[in-house]
Amino acid sequence: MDKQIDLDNRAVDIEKDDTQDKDMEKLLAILHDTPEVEIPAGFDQRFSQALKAEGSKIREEKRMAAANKKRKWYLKVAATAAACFVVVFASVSMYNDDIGPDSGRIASEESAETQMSLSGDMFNDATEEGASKDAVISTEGIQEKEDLNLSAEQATIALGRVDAEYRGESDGNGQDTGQAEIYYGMQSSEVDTLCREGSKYAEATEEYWAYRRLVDEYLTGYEFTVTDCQRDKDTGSYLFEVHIVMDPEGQIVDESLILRGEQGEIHESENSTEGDEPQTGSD
Amino acid sequence: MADVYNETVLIEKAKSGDEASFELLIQNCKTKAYNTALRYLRDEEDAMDALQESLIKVFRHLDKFKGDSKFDTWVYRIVVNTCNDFLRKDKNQRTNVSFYRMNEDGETMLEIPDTAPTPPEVFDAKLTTSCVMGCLNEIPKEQKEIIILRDIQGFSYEEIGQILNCSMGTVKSRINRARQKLKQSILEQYDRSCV
Repeated sequence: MDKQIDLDNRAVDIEKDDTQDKDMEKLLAILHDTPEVEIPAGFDQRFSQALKAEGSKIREEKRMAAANKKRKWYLKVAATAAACFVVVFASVSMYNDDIGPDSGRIASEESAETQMSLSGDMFNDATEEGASKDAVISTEGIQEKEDLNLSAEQATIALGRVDAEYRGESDGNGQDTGQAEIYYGMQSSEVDTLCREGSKYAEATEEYWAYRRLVDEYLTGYEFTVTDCQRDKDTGSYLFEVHIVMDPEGQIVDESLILRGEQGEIHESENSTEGDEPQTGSD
Repeated sequence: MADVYNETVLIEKAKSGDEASFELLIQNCKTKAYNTALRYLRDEEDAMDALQESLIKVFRHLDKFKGDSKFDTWVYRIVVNTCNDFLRKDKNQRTNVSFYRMNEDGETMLEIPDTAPTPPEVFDAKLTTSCVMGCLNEIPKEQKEIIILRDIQGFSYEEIGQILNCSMGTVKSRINRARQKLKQSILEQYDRSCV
């Protein structure tokens, strides 16, 4: 009896499971058969517009990002360059200011160099001093000679010295310049007069320049211009026509003077105008 | 192979902001995505909004697609997430009267009396598409979405695992539970209509 009941119960359970499975199958079938719905017509247009707007926004953002990236790169490069410049500048400054780690060594080297250059300078100074002293002495000597009416012998010595000075000046470009001034003197600003010999211009000789120098010394302090020079072929003397503009005190003179150069001396010619002319050295 | 190649090319073009390429890319999955959204939201307008939002998201974040899954699967995943967001927002706006309650384990349970086995004919009578869809909306979200994806849209277990970001075992256990819940819901609907 019990066995029969158990069998009946089991049969009910199986039937129940079968029913449930069948129900589930039906349910799944309905779900599977749910029809697919088409997208409403207006969606595509709406979506296209939204997509275009989004696309342009994305492109804009990408462009901005690219520009930012570029700008950042430039900034980085500029910063690096600036940093390098600062480092180099600081290094150079430190080196120049002797505040670096090698400052002691550099300072000692520099002091040694300074001593060396100082001694060199001192040597040069001494030489220059000696030279200038000589120059002063010789200048004084010239003045004394002028004041004391140089004798013929002294004048010759003076002439020799002047020649030597002249040669010294012309050793470099001086001689060439002198020659050039002789032949092209009319164009020169310094030498406005050439020596004539008769109706021709004579070649400027050392003798001419020596007398010219003596003229300059004779008229020391005066402002003047040598307007003419003539060489006497027979006697070998030089006649310098000089126009004095201003005396040593600064007063305007505006007079002409003829100086004769002969036998190594320069003196006033008898033809020269009397008055406020300078005293001749030979008088 | 050619389709995969085309898809890769279209993805690359769309990544640079080419809308036409993107439209071609989503051509095949658009309708299925819309139907998925429609089953979730049960409203044409909401479904269109969700679809548009999803596809714009896909377009914008296309460079995040690494090719771990199929492109379509990735799109459906975004559609499902967007629909869930819509439902969450909608839930805040509407006050739904639910006949579910949470049990101790945190699972939602139907508060229905233990009913006797339903006669097959009664079940057949009530088993119409609209009834099923109505009942589907009554069951918990996780169970509803797995039924939509598996039984309505016909995704494979693997695809569902990728869309919902869970394992295949989880998908299988969830689908069984979800089907049982749906059936119970249909029966409950019937009982209430009888009363």
